[in-house]
Formats: sequence, C-alpha cells, structure tokens
Amino acid sequence: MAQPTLRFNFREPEVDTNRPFTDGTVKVEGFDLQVTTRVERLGPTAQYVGISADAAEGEPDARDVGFAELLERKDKGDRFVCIPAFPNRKFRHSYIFVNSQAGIDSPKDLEGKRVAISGWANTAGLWARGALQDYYGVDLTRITWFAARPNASRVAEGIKIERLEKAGMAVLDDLLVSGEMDGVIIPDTLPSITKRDPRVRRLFSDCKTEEQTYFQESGIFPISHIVTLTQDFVDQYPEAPVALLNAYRQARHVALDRIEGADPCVVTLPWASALMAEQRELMGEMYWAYNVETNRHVLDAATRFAHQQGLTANRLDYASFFDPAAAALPGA
Amino acid sequence: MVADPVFRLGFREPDIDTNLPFSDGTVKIEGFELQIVPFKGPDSVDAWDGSFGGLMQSKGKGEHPWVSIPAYPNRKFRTQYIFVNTASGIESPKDLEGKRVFVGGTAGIWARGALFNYYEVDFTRIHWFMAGSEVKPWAPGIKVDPVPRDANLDEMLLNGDVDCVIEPNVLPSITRKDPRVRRLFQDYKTEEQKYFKATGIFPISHVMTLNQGFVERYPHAPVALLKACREARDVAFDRIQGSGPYYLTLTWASAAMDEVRRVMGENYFAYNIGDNVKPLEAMMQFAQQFGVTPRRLDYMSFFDTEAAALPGA
Repeated sequence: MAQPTLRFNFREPEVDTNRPFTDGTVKVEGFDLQVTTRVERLGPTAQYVGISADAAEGEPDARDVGFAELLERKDKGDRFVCIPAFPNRKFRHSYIFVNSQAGIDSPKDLEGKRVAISGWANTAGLWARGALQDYYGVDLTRITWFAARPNASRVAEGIKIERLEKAGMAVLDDLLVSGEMDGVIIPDTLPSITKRDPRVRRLFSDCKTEEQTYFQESGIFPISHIVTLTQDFVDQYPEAPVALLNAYRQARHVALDRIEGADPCVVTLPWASALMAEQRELMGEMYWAYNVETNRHVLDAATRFAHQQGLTANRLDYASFFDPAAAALPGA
Repeated sequence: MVADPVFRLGFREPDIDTNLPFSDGTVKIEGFELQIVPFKGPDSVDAWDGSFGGLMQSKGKGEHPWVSIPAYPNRKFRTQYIFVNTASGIESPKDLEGKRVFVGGTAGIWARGALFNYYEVDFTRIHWFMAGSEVKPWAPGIKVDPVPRDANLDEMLLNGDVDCVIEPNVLPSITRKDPRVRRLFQDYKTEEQKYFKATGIFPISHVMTLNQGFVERYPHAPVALLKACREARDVAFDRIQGSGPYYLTLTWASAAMDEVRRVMGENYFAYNIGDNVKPLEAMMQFAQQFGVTPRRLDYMSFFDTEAAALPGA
C-alpha cells in the first residue's frame, strides 16, 4: 500500500540540519516526503535536492517557521501543531551591525540612534532585542526603529517604528555604510560586513566571546526555527508528529557526523571537529537537543521577550504549542 | 551554433564543501557542458579529485596519462589522524618507537613525513603494518608486514593488535570517544598550528586532475576547470562566512574561519602554485623518503603549464 505524502516546505533546504532530508539520506517513517520549497529560492541547487517547480503549489503539511512569527500567529489563535525540532539556532549578537562612525561602542549607545530591522516579528530581531533589553539594560523605546512595514505587528508601548521605502538587504547595507542608519539588525550577515568594509562593523567585535558569556550567564541559545504541522494533517495522521521528530533527530545526527565523523565535509575549516568539541564542552554534550525538556528555559525566554516587546498581547504558554506525543518522546 | 563539448567531472568526495558547489549545480565550467558523473576510476571521467599519494605513485612508475591543475579541494592536517591505543603507553611521537603501527594512504605519507622529519622518530624501530598492496620496506632497516585484506583497523586498535593506526578517516571508536583509544595529540589543533608555523606545510590530500587525452582535445580545459574550482572554493567559503551560513551546528564557524586566516594567512586555501610551494616540495620529499617514488620528482611536472601560470589564487 502506498504511503501518505507529507508535503514539507523547508525555508532553508540546504543548511546542515535540513539537508539530510532534501538529499535523501533521511526518510520520515510511514510517509513519502515531498519538498515544496519554491524553485526560485534555490536556483540550480533545486535540481540537486530534488525540488520540482510544480511541487510548491498548494499548502504544505509541515514547515519550519520563524519562532517569532509562530508566537505572533499563536497569539492570534492560529491552529497548528509544533514538534520540538529546532533546525536553526543562532546567537544574534553577531547580527547587530553598526556604522563605525556612529559612536556606538556598547549596547547602551544604541539609545538615541536609528536602527533598521526586517520587521518587529523577525525572529533574529526578537532575540537580539531580548538580549539588549534584558541582559544589557537597553531602553528599546529610546531607539528609533525603521522597517518597511512599520505597522505589520504589535509593538510594546513607547516603541516607535518609522517607515522605510525599501528594506532589502542591499538597501539596508547601503543605508548603514552611508551612515543614514546607525545600526541594522537583520537575520543575515550584511555583504559589507563579510567583505570587511571599514565603514561598518559588528556591535560586538569579539562576538564569539560575547555570545559564549551570554550563554553562560543567561542559559539562552536562541531558537530561530521550529518545525510545525497543520492541525488538519495531524488530525488525519496522528502519528505524523512523532515520525517527523524521529526523522529530525536522525537528520541532526547526520549533520553532526558530517562535521566530526569519519569523513568530515567542512574541509575549508581545518579544525572544525575541534571547534565542535569546544562547543560541547561549553554548552553541553547535547547542545542541539530536539526535545522540550532541555529547551524549557529558551522556550520560556522567547515567550517572555515576545510579551515584553509587545509582539504578543498575552504571555503565551509554550507547552500548549507542542503535539503531546512528540513532546513526551524520550531522548534528544 | 555549435554545442559546448561535454566535460565529465567525477568526485571521490562529491559532498565536501569545496566540491559540493559542482555537485549541487551552483558552479559550471565555462565553454563546456558540465556533467557530474559517479567516479569509478580515471577512465570513467574527464577529470576528478585525484589522491596526491596515488598520483605520486603512478608518476613514479611512469604510468601517468594525466595532467593536474593547482586546485586542491581536500587538505587536512594529518597528525590528528594518528590514533593510539590508550594502554600502549604512547604519550609522544618518540614513544611510537618499539611499537606496532598501521599506516596507509596519502594521509599516511603526510603523517609519516611529520613524524620522521619534524618529530624525528626513528622509523627503523617501528614494526609497520600496511595494506597488502602498499607493503614495501621503503628504506634499509624498515620492517613492514601486511594486514589481512578484511582487517578491521578499529577493532585491531581497540584490541591492542596494533598500538597505533594512521589512516585517512576518523575511526568510529574515536568519534564515539571510546576510552580505550585516543588521538596521539590530544590538543591536535594547537599541535597542528605549531607544525604549520614551523614548516609552512598544510597537507594536500587531493589534486584536481584531467585525462591527458581530454586535454589534448581541449587544451583550454585545464584553465577553465581551475577557474571553476576557484569559484567553487569561493562559494564554499561564502557558505561559512557569507550572509546565509550552511553549517549551523557549528555556531562559531565564521569566527573560527577568521582565526584560521590569522594563523595561516588570508589565502590559506589558495588554488595556485606560488602559495603552495612548501607543501608541494614536502610531498616530493616525503614520497621519495617513503619509497612511493623511486627518485625525487619535480612537482611542476604534474601540472598543466597554462593552469600553473594562471595568476590569482
């Protein structure tokens, strides 16, 4: 008998934690996985990861969504089911970029400045602002924020967002380089930062140390993406959340093995496996755990930040997001 | 319009970051219709990522209908691939003397080069083991025995049948941190950085190589391939340090790459001759020392002349 199809929209089909699905290494038990990521997003790689142009039609059954977007939708009462798989996690200190002449040497210096963002509901921004407000004591109401769609989301009282005509990465990069903006916080590294243009820099020049200290003191390793399924699909296939979580754990195992296993894939970093050992030492053996238990503190911080920043009207209860069977699945 | 000629490219390692941009279709070769095909030996392809040790051996024998370009998609320090049995009492390289050591592959040439020339280990005092095809006492006083064809090296090291294994893959027991085995150099990162600073050697495992017949038909192929390899290498770097990183489970990969640049220079993954004279010279020296080649070869004799002269890195 044919297996039911599980249509999955991967936002980032090429990242190490998702690629074992798209390159066919990992299967979802009991389902035929169909990738519905749009071909245009991927360019030539689409063919390699087996994505066809017509697959993107219609609603996917599952997807990896930005955590902040998820919180915003949950606050509005949207129905969908999460599993505790977090394929994208990044400290967002490294994504706070400043103009070198803006006189911003420490987080507090952002007060009184102009900072462009992707939107209040962008997950990188949620975590970066959470750290700025909660850990560095920055008054977020004293920053003038700029975004393309200033009224797209709820904001906390006193938060002021001005409108930007355009807000693509190249535009934001120009605005920061020219000094029209003093800071930019977005989920991707600006091109001028990658090419080390002296007119811009990261707020924290030694991001690694800063982020490691932040982790040690706050216990927060930010979650960018969470895997969700539609309520309808779960109603029809109640075993799907656990099957997908099992597959995600296996894919994560493959990703780690491709760095520190028998035949490492990241050749351009000669000491990648030593780096991973160092990360385990600092953050614990299972620092990339796909379960609720290990991540309670981080899940809690996300709901707290979202409420503090006004993104959600209510302080949400993260436990209610998850499929009960997937949340109770032992292991990591 | 005349169609571009087909260029069949095969990889021993299609999934490593430096080759992936070819495998996944991001990078093309100008003037050719690129086909990525499974690598089943040099005759199955027009070009492939050749093992440097294998190329040395064939060149040494004079059975070498191939021409290389200075693109090195796989480079690894090999001192981290020296695995020892914890109970063997091997604490430093010199402690290998009097012990039973398995060695193999290109990795084994680089590792032996370091042990012999840098750590000054007396190889005549080691009882060597090699795969049957490689067994050869390479100098007076060297004692080598074969291991059975189906030998499980990981098991042999765990059981203490050998005291040390040097081979191109990380042993499963090392990855799962079995206490009965460990790396010779526990802090291999520091050790390898020191080795690099002292010798200038960043070992080359694979060299992109074309079939001679293909180059005779298409003399511009080596340069076109070299340009494409440089582009693929740039894509690989960008996937670590660019706007949307690929290797998320390594949280500080980008910072680590900055650190590598500080230690090894901006162009540490250069695809040219000029920045790689020390490792190329070293391979010529090691291959002769360990009997891979009957005499010391000239590294320039491996390369296509035009590709070798192509400016840039």
